[in-house]
Amino acid sequence: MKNKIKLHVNRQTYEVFVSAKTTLVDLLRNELGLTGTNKGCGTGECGACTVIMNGDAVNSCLVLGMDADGAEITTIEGLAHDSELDPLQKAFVNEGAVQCGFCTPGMIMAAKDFLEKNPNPTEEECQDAISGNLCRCTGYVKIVNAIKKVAESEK
Amino acid sequence: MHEFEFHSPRTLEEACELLKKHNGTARVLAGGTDLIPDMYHHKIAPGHIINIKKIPGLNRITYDSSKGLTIGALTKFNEIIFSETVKNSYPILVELTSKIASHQIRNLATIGGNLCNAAPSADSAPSLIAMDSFVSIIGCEGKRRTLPLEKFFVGPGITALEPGEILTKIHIPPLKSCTGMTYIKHTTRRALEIAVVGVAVLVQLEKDTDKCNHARIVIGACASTPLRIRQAEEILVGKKIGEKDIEASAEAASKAVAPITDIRGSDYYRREIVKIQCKRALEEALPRAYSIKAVEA
Repeated sequence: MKNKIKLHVNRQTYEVFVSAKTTLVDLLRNELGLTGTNKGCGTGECGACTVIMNGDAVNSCLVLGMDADGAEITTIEGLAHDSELDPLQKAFVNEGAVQCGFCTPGMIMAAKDFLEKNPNPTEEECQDAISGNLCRCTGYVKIVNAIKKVAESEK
Repeated sequence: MHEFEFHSPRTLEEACELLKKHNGTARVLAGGTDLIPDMYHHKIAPGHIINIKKIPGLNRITYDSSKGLTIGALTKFNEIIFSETVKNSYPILVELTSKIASHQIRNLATIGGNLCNAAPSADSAPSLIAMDSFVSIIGCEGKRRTLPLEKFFVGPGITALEPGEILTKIHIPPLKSCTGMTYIKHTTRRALEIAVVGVAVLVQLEKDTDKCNHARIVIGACASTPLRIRQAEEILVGKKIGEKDIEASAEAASKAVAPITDIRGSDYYRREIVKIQCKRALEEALPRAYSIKAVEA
């Protein structure tokens, strides 16, 4: 049986029919076509599917679509305004913080939520902020640098 | 994932009835961070999911100087970490809670879910047991009961909850004066890992003599449930704790645990780690008790 839910993704409202077993990451990717959010482990370990839901970064593989009824969600596609990239996206490009790119959307969404809540972080706090995100190219140094750059430039 | 029926009751009564009616095939959905991956990877296949997040009032945090801190079962870990009430009344809880999982998971996972999942390695359990916490439970026809948290755990994944019962609140009594506490989570990585061994330690000192008058040592991931080690506590009580007492207590804890061998460590390794981390935890908690005493004086 499918249930009708309404959710707001990247400032746009969607009404969709989902079955109870559909997770939010599958809903975003398969029903709404927002494939910028990647799906890695499906157990909340890798962080590739991180989105911001009602103001908090969450693993979208750990949320049922039904639980996103009425929610306000931002995915990587919602960060850029018109053709202007978000400062975090620019910093990731400029610092070379992207290698294969699979972890990047999740990293950026986790960092986005973190900087909203902690605009003046230490290096260790930046590391902690992305400790729920795995990069198997192991390029963490540049990712942390990119997050720090954004924090410094917004001072 | 398999097909299941999704229920979103609006009241506790309704939720308890549903749980009882579908006993054996129903699971409560709170934060979902344990339940959803288990279903996704076909480890479990409950026919009914009872989502309790539409029931109002289950995520309140309240403090009362005589009763202590009360945390609703549906409170997310990050709600505890960022709560002004917790920060002002139990700052230690902020530190303990920050060691759990990752930021994203703490935005979903609830304290009640962590306890009800009853993993022997559950990170919130040892510290809460060390603080003599107890839980409120509601059942069908509004029957309520409370239980010391220590008694709540029966085995791996098994709690004292009867069919139709739901955990509603966690109560933490007021911390007494001159009390120092810590939780050491032994892992191979710094973040997002299941504890190989968890050690929570609480020591309380007598104001005038500095003698220990109350101690708690609780070990996680080393038995079928989180384990309070009374033998190790007794060694400390009544003494002005010195190096030898710490070593004897850690040794007693190491002897009392009953760990298994699994992918994260052998039983031998875990016993050795209990000894080492118990010692470190006491060495950390004791100066905290002294400095709190200094502040209070």
